[in-house]
Amino acid sequence: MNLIHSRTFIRGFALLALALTLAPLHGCAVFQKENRRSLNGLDARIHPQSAGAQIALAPVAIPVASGALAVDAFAVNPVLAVEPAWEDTYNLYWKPREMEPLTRAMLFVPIVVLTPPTFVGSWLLNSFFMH
Amino acid sequence: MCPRLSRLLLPTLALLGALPLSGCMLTRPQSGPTFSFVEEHLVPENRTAQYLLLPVFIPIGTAAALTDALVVHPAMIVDDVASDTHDALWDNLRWDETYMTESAALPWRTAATPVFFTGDFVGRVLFEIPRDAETIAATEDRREAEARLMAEARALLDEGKPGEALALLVQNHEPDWSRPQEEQQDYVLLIFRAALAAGRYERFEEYMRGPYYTVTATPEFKAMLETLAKSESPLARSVAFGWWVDQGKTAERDPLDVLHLMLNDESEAIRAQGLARIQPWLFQEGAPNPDLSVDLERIAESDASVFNREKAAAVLRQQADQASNRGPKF
Repeated sequence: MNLIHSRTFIRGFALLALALTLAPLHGCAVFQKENRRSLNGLDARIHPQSAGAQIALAPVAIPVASGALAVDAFAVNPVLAVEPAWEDTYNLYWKPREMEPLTRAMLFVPIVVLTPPTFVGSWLLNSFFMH
Repeated sequence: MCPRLSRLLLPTLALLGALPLSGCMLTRPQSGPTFSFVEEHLVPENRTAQYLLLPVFIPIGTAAALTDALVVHPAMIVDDVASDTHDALWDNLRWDETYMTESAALPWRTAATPVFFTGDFVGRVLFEIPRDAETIAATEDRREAEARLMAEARALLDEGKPGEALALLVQNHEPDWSRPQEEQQDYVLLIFRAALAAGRYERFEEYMRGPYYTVTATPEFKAMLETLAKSESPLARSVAFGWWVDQGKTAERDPLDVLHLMLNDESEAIRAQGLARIQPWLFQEGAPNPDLSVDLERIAESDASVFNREKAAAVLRQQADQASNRGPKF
């Protein structure tokens, strides 16, 4: 079967094109150096200087580095994003403010309802996008 | 109709319909090398022969235009597309410093390369994006023309014809926002020299407050301001004084000293301009500025211009109001 005419190939190519186009526009978090903690640690420890050493090490370095990038993107950054996400939610809804008891009572249920989606939204933004 | 043909018909019609909206070569056949060759070497110059041979040259011209659009032009832009792709994805790789980061990015760069190449290729084919070589050649032509103009203007200045030099420079000046300002500084400075020599001080206002702001940081411009400040022409002095005051603390001269000069200038107009610019400087660390207050009181009492006397009196009242917190703070 001709690969170019394969629906799977065409869809995959289109999705890849879309992702590669949108990622920079959305400011992917791992595009910033400070959001690549695992990779930065590896950079500090592994830095072959000669071209020969770099090429020889590539078959191991590429998968290891890709794994470190995935760890940063899907594990480290999401965990570290919990605190700022909670801070955003707290400052928005739960920070003590001067208000009348009746107003406070009326706002309590909406605040409780809105807290989880606000936290999740802020957590997603902080985890995956540049800030 | 054949099913395959009917599936292709609509997209083909849409593409042909969109071509006139883009810069596609088919809408500008005269810019292709094959079509140009046909036009220059095969088409007879005689108008009658041209009309008689139309049935021959229309298909030849169409074939030439299609060859340019579909074969020649795409082949010519491949190097530019490769250069764009390299600049976007493969430039500035720091393998020595961030080996592991570059290794992690390598699969993504590799996957993005055909996507970017294809998109850039299609874009350059469809839209009128000048080739890098054309852009470079156009810029060099512009620079050579500018250099010739400037040499001609300098010769006129040396002959004591600053008005002609100024006219030559100003009439042929083509602002080019794509080039760094620093490249155009020499040209603007020559305009200033000619304007200064010809007494056309309004040209200073026109250029120093516009987009050529980097020229105002040059030592030559600063020296010209000093010359203007000492000129017998009130207009010349107002250009220098106004610039220094408006630049504030970043100016070469202390704005307070300059305001003092303006308020004591022999020209009523310059004193009026000083009064118009005085508001931000009325107070110093919360208290009325004493030097300016003395000048204001003198002008309010004895200036030859009624306007200046009234204006100075109004400023003094505002100063008093602000000091006692009765009016708005500036």
